[in-house]
Formats: sequence, C-alpha cells, structure tokens
Amino acid sequence: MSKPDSKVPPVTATLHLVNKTPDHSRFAECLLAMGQGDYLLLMENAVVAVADCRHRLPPDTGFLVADARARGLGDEPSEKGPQPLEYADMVRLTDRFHRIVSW
Amino acid sequence: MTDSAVLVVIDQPPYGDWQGREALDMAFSLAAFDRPVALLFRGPGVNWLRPGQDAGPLGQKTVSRNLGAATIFGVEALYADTTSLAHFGLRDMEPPAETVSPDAAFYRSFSHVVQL
Amino acid sequence: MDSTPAAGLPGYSLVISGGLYSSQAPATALAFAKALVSTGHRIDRVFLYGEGVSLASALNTPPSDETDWTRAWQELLTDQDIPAFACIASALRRGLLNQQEADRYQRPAANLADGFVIAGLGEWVQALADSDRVIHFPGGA
Repeated sequence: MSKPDSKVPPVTATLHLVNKTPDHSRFAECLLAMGQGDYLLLMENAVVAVADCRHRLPPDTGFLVADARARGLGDEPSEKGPQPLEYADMVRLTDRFHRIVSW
Repeated sequence: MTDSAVLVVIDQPPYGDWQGREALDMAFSLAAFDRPVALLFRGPGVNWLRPGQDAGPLGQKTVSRNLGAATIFGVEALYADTTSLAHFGLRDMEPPAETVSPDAAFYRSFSHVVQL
Repeated sequence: MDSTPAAGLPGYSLVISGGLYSSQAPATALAFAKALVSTGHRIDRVFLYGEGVSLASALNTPPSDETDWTRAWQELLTDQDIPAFACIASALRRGLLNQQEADRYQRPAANLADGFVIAGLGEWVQALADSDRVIHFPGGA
C-alpha cells in the first residue's frame, strides 16, 4: 500500500476534505473541482462513498478509518481502491498540501 | 502567503437558514481588513441574486440590499455559476454578477475557498 | 506528552462551523487536533463560527455515558495552551454569552465555557494571515 506522503504535490494541488454523503450536492461539486495532483479525503458521512456503486472515486482518494469502522466499512483491504487513513495520515496530507478546501 | 483573493461560496437559498448571511459576514469582514475577497453563488445559492426580493413579511432583512453594498465595502467580485442560473431560470441578477463555470482552474485562482 | 513544536512543520488554525449535536465537526476537529499535537505541530488558534459556537457553552450537559465534547476540548486547549475564539455575532445570536456581554445586554446569565473567548471575525482573518494551514470543519449532512 502506498502511503499518501509518497509524492510531493505541485503548489496548486489541492487537498479536498469532504464530510457529506455522496448524495449531497457538495460531493458532486467537489469531484467537478478536482484537478491534476489533487487528493480527495472522505470524512464523516462521506466515507459511505466507498460502498456506493454509483460513484467512481478518483484514484487519489483516502478515507478516515475511524469514520469507516464506525459505519461498518472499509476493513477489507483493496489494491486500487481508496486508501484507509488514520488521523495522523490526515496530518501528513495537510502538511503536504498547501491548498486545502473543505466541502 | 499569496495575495490572491479568498473565495466565499454561498450555495443555499436566502432566508431558509443563516448560513448564507454568516458566509456574507465573513466576506465583509475580510474586505474590512483589506483582504481581497470574492463571492461565488452556486447551486440554489444563485437565488440570492433574484431581483424583486422582499423578506419583510418573514421578519427578516432582504439580503439583496446587503449584497448590493458588497462591492462598495470592498468585495472584489461577485460570481454566479452559469449552469445554476439556468437551472433556476435567472436571466437578470440583482446585483449583477459575473457568470462562471467553476472548475479546478477557477478554484485554484483563489488563495482560500470557504464554504460554510 | 512532548508539545514543543518541531521546526519546519506548518502551523495550524482550526475553524469549526459544524454544530455540536447537528454534526460530527467538533469531534473530528478534536481527533485531528490531537493528531497534530502528537506529531509535534503548533496549533495557533481555534475559531468557532456559526453553529460551531455551540461547542463553547458551559451548559452542555450530555448523559454521563456519552463523551462530553466541550470538556474534552477544554482539556486540550488548556494542556496545549491553545487560544480558542467564538465569533461574537454567531455566539450572541445563539445565546452564548460571557459575563461582559450578559451585563451589556442585561441577560440573566453568562454561559461561555472556560478556555474560550468571545471575539470578532478579525480573529479568523488573522488566522488566514498567520497560520500556514487553516483547516475548516463544517457541518455535515
């Protein structure tokens, strides 16, 4: 599993923090706003997106393990799917990305 | 820290809650401290720009009056999402806003993006 | 716990606008703040805005078998000496007052929890200017 801190993003790259369900308009708006080098972090209610068959998530997507476990999700490891992240991993992401947008 | 503007997004219609008003307060506050700031109306938030509002009967202040003063108070630009304007049948806007189709490049042109 | 911020790490401010029982925001922000502290980061300030001011009420009284988020936040703020502000306009609208505001508006009680200060949006503007990162924890849905 590649850790999220393996690459240094360009200055304009953005870390997107989403805490809404995939049915919330902000979720779709966030996907529209994503560009080259961006990373999508699913938090709180947004973690149900990992089980949502209607959406294809971007390759650089992670989800908070605590939120996923709480909702009975995300314990099965997947090769290419979203990366499970602890809060300390989230800190590594927020350290790396200069631009951070909450949706 | 770049000197580019902070973008404050309003994506809920007026009067149903205080989210948009409090977002507007953030924009006015930035402007008051001479920080460059712009507003984006997106989704149902474009209804903030509908002419002919009168919230008096609701016991609220009509928001278009505050909004009309935005540029006077130093808000650099008002933007409205083109698709959302079409969805809500808005051709005229009060106050006028620049129409945009917000994408990655648009959001990246701001130092911060704030969405309550 | 070693709380000396390591050189070279970005400094953070946290903005919480999600309400205490209408969102997970105060809880997520607390977990994130603890992760920041345990990895040697500096937290410049915490700013509560909109529904987020509900966290700063000293009258929040959850059942004894639930987490007391206000108390948990107070402990972190005190331990790490982090300044925390509740936006005055958001706070007054929602009935969150310190003694000074209670006196000014002739209200019968003040309820701002220790560790929090009532302040204007200028504190948020300052956070944008001073902190390398400003992380916003909004309400959910």
